[in-house]
Amino acid sequence: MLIPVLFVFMLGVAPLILTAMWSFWPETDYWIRPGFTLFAYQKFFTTGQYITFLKTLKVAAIVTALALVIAYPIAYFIQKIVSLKYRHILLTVFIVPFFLSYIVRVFSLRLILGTYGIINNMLVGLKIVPEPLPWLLFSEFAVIVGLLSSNLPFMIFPIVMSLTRVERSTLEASQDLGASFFNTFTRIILPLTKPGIFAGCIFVFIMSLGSTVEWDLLGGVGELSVSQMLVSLMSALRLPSVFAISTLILVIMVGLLWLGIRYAQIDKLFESLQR
Amino acid sequence: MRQAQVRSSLERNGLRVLVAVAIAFIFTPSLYILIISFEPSLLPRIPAWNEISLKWYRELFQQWRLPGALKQAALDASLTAVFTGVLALFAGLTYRELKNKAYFLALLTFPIFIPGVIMGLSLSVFFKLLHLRPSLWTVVLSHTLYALPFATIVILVSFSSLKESLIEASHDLGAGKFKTFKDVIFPLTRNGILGAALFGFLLALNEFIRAYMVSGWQETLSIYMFGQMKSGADPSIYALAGLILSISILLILLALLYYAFIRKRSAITEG
Repeated sequence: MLIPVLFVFMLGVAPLILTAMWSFWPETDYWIRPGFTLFAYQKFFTTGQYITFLKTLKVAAIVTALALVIAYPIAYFIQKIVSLKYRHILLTVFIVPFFLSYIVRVFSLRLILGTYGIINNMLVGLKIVPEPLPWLLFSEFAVIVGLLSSNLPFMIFPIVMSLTRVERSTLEASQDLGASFFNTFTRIILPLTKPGIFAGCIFVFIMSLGSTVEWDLLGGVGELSVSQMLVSLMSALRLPSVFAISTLILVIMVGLLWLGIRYAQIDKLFESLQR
Repeated sequence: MRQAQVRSSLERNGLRVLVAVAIAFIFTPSLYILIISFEPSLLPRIPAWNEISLKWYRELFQQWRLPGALKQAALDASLTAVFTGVLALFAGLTYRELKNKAYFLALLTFPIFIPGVIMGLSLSVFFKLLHLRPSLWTVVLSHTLYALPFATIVILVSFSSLKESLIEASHDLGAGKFKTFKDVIFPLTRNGILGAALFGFLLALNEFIRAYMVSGWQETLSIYMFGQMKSGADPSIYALAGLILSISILLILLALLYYAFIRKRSAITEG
């Protein structure tokens, strides 16, 4: 009965541990051998690799912040304002994007944001701008739009789950005691939904950091992302660099998860399932 | 008081608009490409009502690489659905009996947090180390790992409505573990298991980067499609996108109808 545990450990955890270990192994011809060297990390900081890394981190942070600001009110609306029937409908609506091809979604955005796409046609047609905006596509802007469109549901669901911890009676008690909505929000709702906020932010940040398709199809020429860099290093069989960069991302991921568990109790998110 | 009411209804409408805009933002791209796939001319645009045509779909099925990719995708998605369903079921059964539920759940949901490209890269090297050649099976294993966290959550939600007393009653009446599973647990959680398998199927069908990294020469539909998109091929690419969307939408609708039917039936038998 422990098969699922073994499965996840063998394929989900062990390869990552090995990746981290291999990142310290010296390179041979197109492969690696046991040993210890920091060469791959040195290369990361002395060649331009870290610039690409930082740029991707920046975009991931922007996407995460935007997603949080948009998703929080939506989650609140779903969990606390609408009737049970509409809650089910809205939750179903926001699950559907998980099941639709993200490559198709991103490819379609290319048509929508292009020089002669619907957005530019509309802007020019309504005489808002004199000529099509060139920066709508093949730019950081396009990447951010694509990542947001793909990842918004990942932010909505954890927050909805954490909002179930906010009891209606608590909110009413706070109101009865004369607290303004602002006070109720900052002192009751926000602390109780911290696990959801953190989990959602970690999801979206990591997803954006590791995204390939959005950058490939929407990003500008010469604007590489970390994962594109990884794919091209992999096809050139520069394995130590591949492992070192992956390890850095894993360190960020594990660090964020640790912070989330330590300071936001993100493990409480599934409380309702742990009876 | 009145003022507060006016303000709160204003806020409510503001939130409604935000939700509508977010839904439009998430769904417009998918719907847009589905619509333009019926435009017969070479230009990607919304077809006039009387010009709707399946021309590019016919063209699509002339391509010699498509049948292979379709077959791979169907096999991959079906096998992933079975593996995910079974593993998630085991996870659900184990979870009930565990003391340290939090650790178990943390481990099983952990793969959600691994970026696709890193999961793909580390698995491709790991498989190589185990002398597992890139094949349909390596793709299926990667996709099962990807879908399992989602499926586990679905299963646990469905198991959480399973009353412990029913299982105890079954044991008290002398039923063994297997009989209890077959006659009590399975009938009550069947829909959760189906839901978990559905997650496996649809996530595998639409996943790209992991499959791309571990597949070798086996093309799934998503890999084939990505290649076509990068090379900027003819408008049959819109038909291909339309095809993969239609398959997903059809399955989602079937699932929704099924669950609506179940709910209605249980409402009738209970009420």
